[in-house]
Amino acid sequence: MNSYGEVVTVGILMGSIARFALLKIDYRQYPSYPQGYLVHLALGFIAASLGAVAVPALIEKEYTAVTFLALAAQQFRDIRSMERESLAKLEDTELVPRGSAYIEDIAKVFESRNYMAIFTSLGSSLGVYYLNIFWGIITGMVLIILFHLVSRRQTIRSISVVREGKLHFKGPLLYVEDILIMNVGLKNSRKIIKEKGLGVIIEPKDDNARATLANMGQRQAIAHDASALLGIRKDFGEPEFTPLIRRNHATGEIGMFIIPSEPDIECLIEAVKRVPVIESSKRTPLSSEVGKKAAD
Amino acid sequence: MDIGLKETIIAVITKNKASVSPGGGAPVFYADTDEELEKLAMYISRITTGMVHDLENGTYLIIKH
Repeated sequence: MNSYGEVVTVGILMGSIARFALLKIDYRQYPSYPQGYLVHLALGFIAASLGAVAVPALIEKEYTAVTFLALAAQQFRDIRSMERESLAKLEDTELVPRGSAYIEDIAKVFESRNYMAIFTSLGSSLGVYYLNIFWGIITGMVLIILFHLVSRRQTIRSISVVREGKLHFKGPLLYVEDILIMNVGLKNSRKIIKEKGLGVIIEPKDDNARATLANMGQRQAIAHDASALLGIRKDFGEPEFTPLIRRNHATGEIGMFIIPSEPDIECLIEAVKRVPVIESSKRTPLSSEVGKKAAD
Repeated sequence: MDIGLKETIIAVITKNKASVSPGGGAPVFYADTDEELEKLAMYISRITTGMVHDLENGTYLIIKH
């Protein structure tokens, strides 16, 4: 049995570390400034404190303290709507918008990370109380690693095969292999697309992947991430240079057309492979009886 | 507040007068040559930030997506 001071301190520490470990600048390019970090670290600290204080409260039979956790849940739901709102408001300023599905996904991830901070601090506080500081820290670390593993996301790489697709025109119609992308009227634009444009074909590995890739939110996320990573040769008012993703309805393959600032097909394929599968777009028809039967 | 037209034909540019009926929803611009057609389409699309589509019968549409 350890003093409450140690219990709470270790809990807060481990919970805050958990939040910090999950806070990295990633391909989403967000958050990228110290201010953005600070917001999330501060909230992570609050989450960790709630988790850590819960243990002594419960031991002292102050069961009403649990209601504070409900308050915390409310607070973190607010984080989600805060993220959603701010990203949605910024959509107009993006040359290639993220799309509402991707925004919802990012917001959800931010919310869940705070719960991870709570559970980590709760776990390590329990460890400190019943065992000692050493085991408390170990518990916290194990939880952090566990959450890292659990929260790892599926990416396009794991559900599909990504390869280069040849761009070509039939009259004004732009195709990536046999997938029709759009009708480009201006001859000059066609010339630029022919010279600088790149095409990518994403072949789904199974029926689950096919249904997921058909989702418009997932496609918009791919277009956004690819143009965020490779840059995009487009300005406001040049809609014909917007990256577009269209589907071959017979095979379920999707074809993307993009004019990146860095026309490097290898990097483009890698960028597409790294796009996360969005939770709300993910479909698993194969895990149902009907879907399985329909697939044979 | 931002108010604008979307998913509508903003303008029609044609050198084939017979193919377009005037008095529809969108303004119609006539051109005499292919070059003029191309130039008008480019100008109007840049002004309206719309997209140019080619109907291949001497008519271009400008549509805002």
